[in-house]
Amino acid sequence: MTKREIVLQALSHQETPVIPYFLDLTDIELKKMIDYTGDPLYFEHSDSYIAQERNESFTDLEGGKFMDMFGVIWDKGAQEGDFGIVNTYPIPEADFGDYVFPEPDEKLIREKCERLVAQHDKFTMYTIGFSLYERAWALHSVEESLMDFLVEPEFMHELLDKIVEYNNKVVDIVCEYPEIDCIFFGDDWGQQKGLIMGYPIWEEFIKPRLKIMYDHVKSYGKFVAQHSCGDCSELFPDFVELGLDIYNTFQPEVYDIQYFKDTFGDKITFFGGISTQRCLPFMTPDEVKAEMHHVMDVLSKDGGYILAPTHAMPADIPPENVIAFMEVAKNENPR
Amino acid sequence: MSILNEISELLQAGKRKQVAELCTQAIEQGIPAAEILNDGLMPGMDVIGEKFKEGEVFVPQVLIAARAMKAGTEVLKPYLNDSESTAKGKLCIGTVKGDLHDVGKNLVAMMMEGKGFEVIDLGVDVPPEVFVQTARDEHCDIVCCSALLTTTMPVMADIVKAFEEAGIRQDVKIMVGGAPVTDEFAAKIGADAYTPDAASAADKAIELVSEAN
Ligand code: B12
Repeated sequence: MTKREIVLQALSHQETPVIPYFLDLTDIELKKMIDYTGDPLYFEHSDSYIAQERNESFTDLEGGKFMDMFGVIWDKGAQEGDFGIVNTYPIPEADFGDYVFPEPDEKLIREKCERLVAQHDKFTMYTIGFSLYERAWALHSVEESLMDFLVEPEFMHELLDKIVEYNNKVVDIVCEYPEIDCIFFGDDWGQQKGLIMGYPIWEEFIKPRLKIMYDHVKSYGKFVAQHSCGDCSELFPDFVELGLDIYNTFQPEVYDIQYFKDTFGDKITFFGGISTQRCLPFMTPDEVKAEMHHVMDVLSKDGGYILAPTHAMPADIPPENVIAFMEVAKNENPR
Repeated sequence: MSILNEISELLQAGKRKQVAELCTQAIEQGIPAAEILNDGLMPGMDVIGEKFKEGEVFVPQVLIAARAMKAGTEVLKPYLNDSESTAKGKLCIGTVKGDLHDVGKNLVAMMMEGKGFEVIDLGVDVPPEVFVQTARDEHCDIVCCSALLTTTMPVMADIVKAFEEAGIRQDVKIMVGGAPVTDEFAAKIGADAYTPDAASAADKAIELVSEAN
């Protein structure tokens, strides 16, 4: 079986000969691993079952500043992490002013799609990060957006509609490629406990637009994956209703993983589960392995699990633990 | 409904223009500014804080209430004389060096203001020296550190150490918080308090300053 076929089998909720996995590293951690192992192709050699390309693109403005394709200027500075904070909001007030929404950069998108096509022995995901609420706040600031859900709801509806329009155009291009399996939407709604915006706002502003985006992807016969950090436990019934195939992060410090597997595991495939908050940075390699086996035992029953860290591994994870992660993924799978 | 109750209700609903208008009216009626603050605005913020803690309202509702509180205090400021406006205490707050998450930190700052603290917001990516310098120069009672990343949590230990080295550890209470922070971690690094959310942070701060007095 190819890696892609194994993932497809897991997604159809059947037991698989091995649990498909994905090594997800931040740029800094990857560099650390390359230095540590002396292998410049450390990531490629992980033999992950998933290939991803990100839709986001940035123009380097120098001095640590980057502009994304929506005209948002990010200040990366010297901080830890991959994108930094917004330096300039293009739509600071609840008024579009002369802001013009971008058209998808078709040439660039096709280049990324071609890279995925070249790897289609794997399960191929085209990632649209910052896909809805996060795109709104990148344009309009976190606090203004959160407040405007309540005080300028029409503006927020219009803003989100424009974002959906953009996303759907990207999807139209990507889904022309039969070798691309899945559209992966990223949007962080969770905090450590509960939703930042609260359920009523999510239900009014986010859910109907997920339906539009998910249905659009499904009309091409592709899978839909959703990433959100933090605690989205109250959204799972909605995820099932919306026909979501894959949920990513699934932080074990947030979820009772056995309960969620038992309750939603026949519909939703969990992608993640190995904690970057409690496990990978702090445990010994042996403890990491034991924790991984525990999570794998619970989540892989009847398929429906893709082994991965709950977030791209940040730089506080010791190389020994990344190696332990890979040993389990490659050699102790099945145990 | 008394005008002060009305102010409290409007604040809870986040109606900043109306809160400001009613504060002006209350002043015109001869109600002392300190009374409007203590019996109108602050109780309103208390209710929102409580509801937030209980999960009845969420970050957006807290943000608009805090914005309304600000609009009200702007009106009152010129009428609050120094003895009346003596705050509950003074504190500085910041997200620690290397960390840029600020939503939680801002909420804590707002709740602290809602409880009557004078708050100096140092922003994000704040190095230990800046906490120490500010606390010393501004005579802060409390120092609040926020960290959302396991990679930046250790900076909190550095902050506690920096206060020790500066010889002013006993002059301040250090509070820590943010998603990955726990009670055990706070104890381990020798911080004075941890709370899981902004409303309990403000309650805890009140407790800490009354212990100190
Ligand atoms: C929104 C978000 C972002 C936004 C931040 C926007 C902003 N302006 O703040 C963006 C997209 C920029 C971002 C970036 C990153 N993030 Co982030 N982010 C989040 C997310 C989803 C929510 C945080 C949030 O705003 N919560 C809402 C507020 C209200 O809650 P809060 O901050 O927890 O605050 C409450 C309490 O903690 C407490 N509190 C907070 N501070 C204090 C202080 C004191 C003194 C007290 C008493 C209490 C207290 O009161 C608050 C209110 O009740 C969390 C998920 C999570 N589990 O929290 C991840 C999370 C924090 N991020 C994470 C990561 C990894 C990153 C990046 C490294 C990603 C990357 N690869 O680039 C970067 C790092 C950037 C940097 N250097 O800081 C990880 C951290 C994992 C880890 N090992 O530590 C998390 C936990 C997600 C995960 N999958 O695990 N992120």
